[in-house]
Amino acid sequence: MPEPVNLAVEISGIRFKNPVLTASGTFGYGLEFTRFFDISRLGGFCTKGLSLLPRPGNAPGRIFETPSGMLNAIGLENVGVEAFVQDKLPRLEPYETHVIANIFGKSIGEFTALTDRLNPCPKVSALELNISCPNISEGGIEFGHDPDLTFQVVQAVTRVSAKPVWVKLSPNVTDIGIFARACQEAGADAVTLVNTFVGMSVDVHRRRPMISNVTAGLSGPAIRPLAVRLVHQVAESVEIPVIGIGGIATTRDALEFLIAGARAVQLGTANFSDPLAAPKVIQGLEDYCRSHGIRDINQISGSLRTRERPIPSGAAGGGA
Amino acid sequence: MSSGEFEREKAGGRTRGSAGDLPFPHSSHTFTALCYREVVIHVVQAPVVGSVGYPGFNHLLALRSREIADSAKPGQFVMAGLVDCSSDPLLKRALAVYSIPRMSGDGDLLTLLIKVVGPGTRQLAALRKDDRVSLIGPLGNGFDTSRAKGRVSVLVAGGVGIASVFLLAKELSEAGEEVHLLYGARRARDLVGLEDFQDLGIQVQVATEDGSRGFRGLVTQILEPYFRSYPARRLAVYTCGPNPMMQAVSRLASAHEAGCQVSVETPMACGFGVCLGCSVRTVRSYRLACTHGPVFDAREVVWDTATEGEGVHA
Repeated sequence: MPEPVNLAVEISGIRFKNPVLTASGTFGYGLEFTRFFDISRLGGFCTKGLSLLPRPGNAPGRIFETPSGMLNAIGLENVGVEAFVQDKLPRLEPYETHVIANIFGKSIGEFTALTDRLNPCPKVSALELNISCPNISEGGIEFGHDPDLTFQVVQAVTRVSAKPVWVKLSPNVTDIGIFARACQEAGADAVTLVNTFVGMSVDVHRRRPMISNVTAGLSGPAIRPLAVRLVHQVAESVEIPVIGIGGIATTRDALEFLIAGARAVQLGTANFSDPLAAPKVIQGLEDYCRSHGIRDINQISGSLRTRERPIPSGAAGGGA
Repeated sequence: MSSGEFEREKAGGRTRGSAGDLPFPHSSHTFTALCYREVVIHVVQAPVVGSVGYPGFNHLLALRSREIADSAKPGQFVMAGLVDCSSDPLLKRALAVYSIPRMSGDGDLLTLLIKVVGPGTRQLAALRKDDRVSLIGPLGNGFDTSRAKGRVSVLVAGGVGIASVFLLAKELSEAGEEVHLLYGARRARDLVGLEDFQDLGIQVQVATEDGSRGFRGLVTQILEPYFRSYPARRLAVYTCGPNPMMQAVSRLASAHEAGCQVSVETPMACGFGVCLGCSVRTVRSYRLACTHGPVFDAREVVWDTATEGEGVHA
């Protein structure tokens, strides 16, 4: 018998059987993937962003593939929180995995109303606040781009939430660390980073934007080095756990984020091209630990900072 | 909205066989057996058994996958990409299942007709025997042939849109229905698969814009006479091709009150209803090309120039 490997991690008081989750907007409501694999294998998954009322999403011209990435401006199409609670959650009951409800509001009142609606749902393990969607242009407050607003919305939600609160951060800011600290001070239990980078692509023949919304969120391996660096930066500056996301498709990619300081990871765009990507990464992490003589995945998390890269005095922060 | 309907539609029996029984067991204990026996979308690595180049940057790729060959129906598609290709290109390509050859001992082949328009399709077209292709499928609703009986089926295809209608032509002609193919292209060398349709013994008419083969002009011009020759209720029109062509075909059919189904093509990231990228504007709401479609009743589609991104998904 090979040595057992512990893949379980603890985040915000919740034990996850492994550090692999799937990202909001790439995994439907979980049920869509039950035809591909037993989603009970996942540490957890984040639902499509839920709003108080159903949303139809943006006009067609929603996605466009770019080098090693894709732009999307779906416009938060979703069934609404009520249909999620009534129709989806009961069918998720048989699966032994953590459901993280990703929620999105245009005002603090909407965020707290969503929280109130999900509080009595035992199948929802935690909330993930989407304060960072780049594709909504209808006048909602951009909480994720103002540290004070970030603090206010996170504090309002944590005050009423019966569940741990994670906050998904935007990378489209000058210093993401300020926002992560604002979340921590406001009582957030974890931060997820990063959401997509705002991008744009042009059809040069028709001189039109490739995406009807004009700007869109860039995801996929193209953003991975940017995301790894931000995760590393934030993991060094807050006490609460960091969940790393940004272009993870393989075991190696997931390890990069864990070593850089993430407690867990989320797979996003990879779920589109390979619906079995997440279980492959879970198996890959176990194999990695075994072949490297690591008994506990938690030994990997943050190991770049604490062990493998002792910082000589004066060298920190220096540019290449 | 979309995902719920996705499951209901599948459960509604529009796909064949086991599709009606989705694995939503009430205890995790029963999960494995249900899930793996009843699964309707397959994720496979299919070996290439042959690749043939045609003029006009077209390729026919023959693959071995018993799961998909056994279950695909006319108008359905697969997502296809290289094995272990996780970044460039990032996404699989949506391709219609062109044919399912039933040769003796080879009941597990399917072919894909690929027009090379970008890096993804170029990679697929470059594959050779014994290479492997990562496939997800069969996907989409497919054509509705439940009311085809006794009607004259008119299949109107443009360019590589021909790939979506061969299985349809085959099924209808084998059922003894009268089938006509009207096939339009810019020039003769863009016509692919004509012989396959002729081998079915159906009526085939061709229109090319430059007159290099068949009628000189647009395929809609050879469609028009049908509405004079037949009463509308005797016609069933099916179309797949560039959006302007399908829009014109839809308009003609609707003007004569003939039934018409269109198979749309849009950029698509996943193919199974979760990216929500492939929305199509319909008279009711946005619908997904991958799970509500790709086949829609022509009267439902709101044709919109903003969705005409030809070649966007290369």
